[in-house]
Amino acid sequence: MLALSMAVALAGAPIPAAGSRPPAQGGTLAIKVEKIVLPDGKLGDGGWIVLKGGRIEAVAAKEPPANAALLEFEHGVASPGFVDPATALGAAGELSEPARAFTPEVSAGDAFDADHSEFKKAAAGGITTVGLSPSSSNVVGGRLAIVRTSGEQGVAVLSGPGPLRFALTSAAFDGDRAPTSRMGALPQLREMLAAKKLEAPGPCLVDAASADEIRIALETFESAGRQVALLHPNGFADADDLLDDVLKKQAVFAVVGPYTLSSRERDLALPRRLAEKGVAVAFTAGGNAAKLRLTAALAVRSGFASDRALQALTSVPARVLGLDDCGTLEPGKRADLVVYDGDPLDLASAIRLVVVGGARQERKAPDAAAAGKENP
Amino acid sequence: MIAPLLCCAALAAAAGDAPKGASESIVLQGAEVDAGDGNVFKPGTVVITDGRIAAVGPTASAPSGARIVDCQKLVLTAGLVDAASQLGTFRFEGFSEQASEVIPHLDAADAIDYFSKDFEKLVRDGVTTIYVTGEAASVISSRGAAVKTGGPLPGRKLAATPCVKVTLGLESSYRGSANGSPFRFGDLTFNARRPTTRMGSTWVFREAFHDALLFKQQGKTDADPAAMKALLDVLDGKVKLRFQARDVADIRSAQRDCDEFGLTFAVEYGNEVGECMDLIAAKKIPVIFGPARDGDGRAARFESPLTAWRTPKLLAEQGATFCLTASEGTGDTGLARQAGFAIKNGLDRARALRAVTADAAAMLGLEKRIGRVAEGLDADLVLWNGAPFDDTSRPVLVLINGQVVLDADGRLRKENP
Repeated sequence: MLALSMAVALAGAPIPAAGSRPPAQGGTLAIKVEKIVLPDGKLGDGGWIVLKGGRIEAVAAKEPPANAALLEFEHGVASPGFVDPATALGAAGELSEPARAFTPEVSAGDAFDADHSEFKKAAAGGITTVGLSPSSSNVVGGRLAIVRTSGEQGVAVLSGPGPLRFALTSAAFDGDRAPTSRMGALPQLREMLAAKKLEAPGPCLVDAASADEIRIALETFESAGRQVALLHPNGFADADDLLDDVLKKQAVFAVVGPYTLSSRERDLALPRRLAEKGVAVAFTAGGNAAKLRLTAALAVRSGFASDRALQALTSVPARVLGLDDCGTLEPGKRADLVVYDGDPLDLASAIRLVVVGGARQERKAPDAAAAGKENP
Repeated sequence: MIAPLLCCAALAAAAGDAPKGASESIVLQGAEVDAGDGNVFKPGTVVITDGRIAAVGPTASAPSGARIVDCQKLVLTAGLVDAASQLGTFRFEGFSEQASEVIPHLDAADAIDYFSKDFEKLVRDGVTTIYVTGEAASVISSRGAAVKTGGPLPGRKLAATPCVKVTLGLESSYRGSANGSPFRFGDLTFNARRPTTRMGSTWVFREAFHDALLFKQQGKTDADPAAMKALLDVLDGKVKLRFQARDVADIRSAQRDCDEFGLTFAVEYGNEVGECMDLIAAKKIPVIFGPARDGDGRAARFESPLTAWRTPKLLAEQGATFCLTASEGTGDTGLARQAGFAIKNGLDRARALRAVTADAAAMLGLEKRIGRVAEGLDADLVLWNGAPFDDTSRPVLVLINGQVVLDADGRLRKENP
């Protein structure tokens, strides 16, 4: 418990800003774009997006409010900031605690290094929120920390406990540590779930690779009344239709990726397959923005619907992290947005602007003319 | 031969197209039906309704609207049942729980991989139910679990009589030495507590049951309370016990260990039961015998205990309760082949069929669900293209709960219809 309470205390206090910039203008900022990624993942007509006090005040407004600082992007497409739900940003190598197989008390926030340059890169690439997750080496690995990659306060861990990470893959079992097997682990896991010792916001993030690991994850957590986000369920296709009954009982998330041009077609087809079965897909690329967009583009190439792909980069991972204040461009949500000069899923589109929590990120435009006209 | 096979293909299509939960009946007509309970109908008729056998006999009246399938020249038996399988699990990292030598509170059901390729092989062999027995790495291992080898997930698990497995002999003690001597390389791990000898394995068994009795008296224990509770269930007779004991010496040890605590047991594998038939007969010890292998007449295990092919015949002559197992074998060493070996070496054909169906089901306490072609039982059926267990015969159609899992074209059907 000590570790946990320390994490909460740490998360409660604003963490010193690292590499943060004050917003270019105080007060209200209005951004004009041609198209907007809607909450349903489709591209809708643009207009003025009004940001105030770190929140979105209006979307697709006809006119900007008076006294607002204005930014216009002639062919701009505004997307919610990307959310990568399972990363080790700024804490690689520090997120595996092999002392015990059940470590619900540990928190990834304790391994968090706000000064790490990876956060800056992620923010510059359009990732505005990441889940910093314990590794898959434990059956119960511990709590995720939700990190805003930038903002007025700089890189910061969101206060309060994050979701819990679990693993039922072979990585969670070690011959020198009890339990050494799934058979040994499951009774203990069920007991802890039943005794409400594993309460957390959002779904349970569970590593489950093979078809049967997916089955046991769904059954174990569903019978405890908990939602599941399957991490890297690569064997999902092997289950054929046999998991249909289990999937009908609950809303299920899946976190997949990253994909590269050398990924197998079988893996690339996974998002489509999951979507066909009603599973909400989120992409992860370990917090690497370029890989995250490539992952989405390759999934679309293999038949995943493009509206789903945009949701898989934004609103679905936000829900995986138990967040309801980001992931879509809607009034009242956090002012996390990215402006591209084309469809975000088209890798030829470049980023023109990143806003994290209302704070504009510095962006070196390859061509000043294309970077948008700024109203002094 | 072609006509009936085509009919089976038609059946496969019919069963596959049937809407889920439909109460449509299927009538298998014209096959030689060997019911496994002494009844043989030449030809016979089997009526399947709602996944169960609704009627069986020389002529059974077909309900109106039933699909009638011509199965002439085929032989119909119950699906085979293996009462001591080691297939269908996450092996290596998944199954054997190395953290303790005493894990009777754990359940092999948690180690089953319903998507294992093993099940496909078993279905092709005509095996429709396996009992996954506890892993031999622990002296007192887990409970086993009975599962069907195919069909939709909700119908796969069966409620067998709970039974804990104990392993004597090299398979539990050998693992201790195989895990190395940790004191040479660093800190002691729980692997260092393993018995490395026969004497040590027996000591673990006796200590555990003494601890359980102390726990009952004093209400507290230094051992794992969950494990102790499970052992008390064994002592109360709520949970049965079986010993993996291949050698005569281990079978006699098992008897001594059980006598000490007033327990009864079944012998699993029991390669050398033929050498101690007096004990088996006198104590009425049930035997799950096998596997025998082609060509050597003995099992190629660590010590190669003598697996005499004529043992099933001897067991039958003694009136012993027994069934046959293929353990981890499929195909050439599969369960149908085990029955074939037994027949070649003198076991009566009807008894050999029972030894891989009805008697195996009874060993698991599942005789009212599976193992025979009889009214009210699950429609787990195999159609053979010749005499079952002959090397020239194979399953050409396999049904589980009335659904085709292996069709006449040799295709496996996994998806929900």
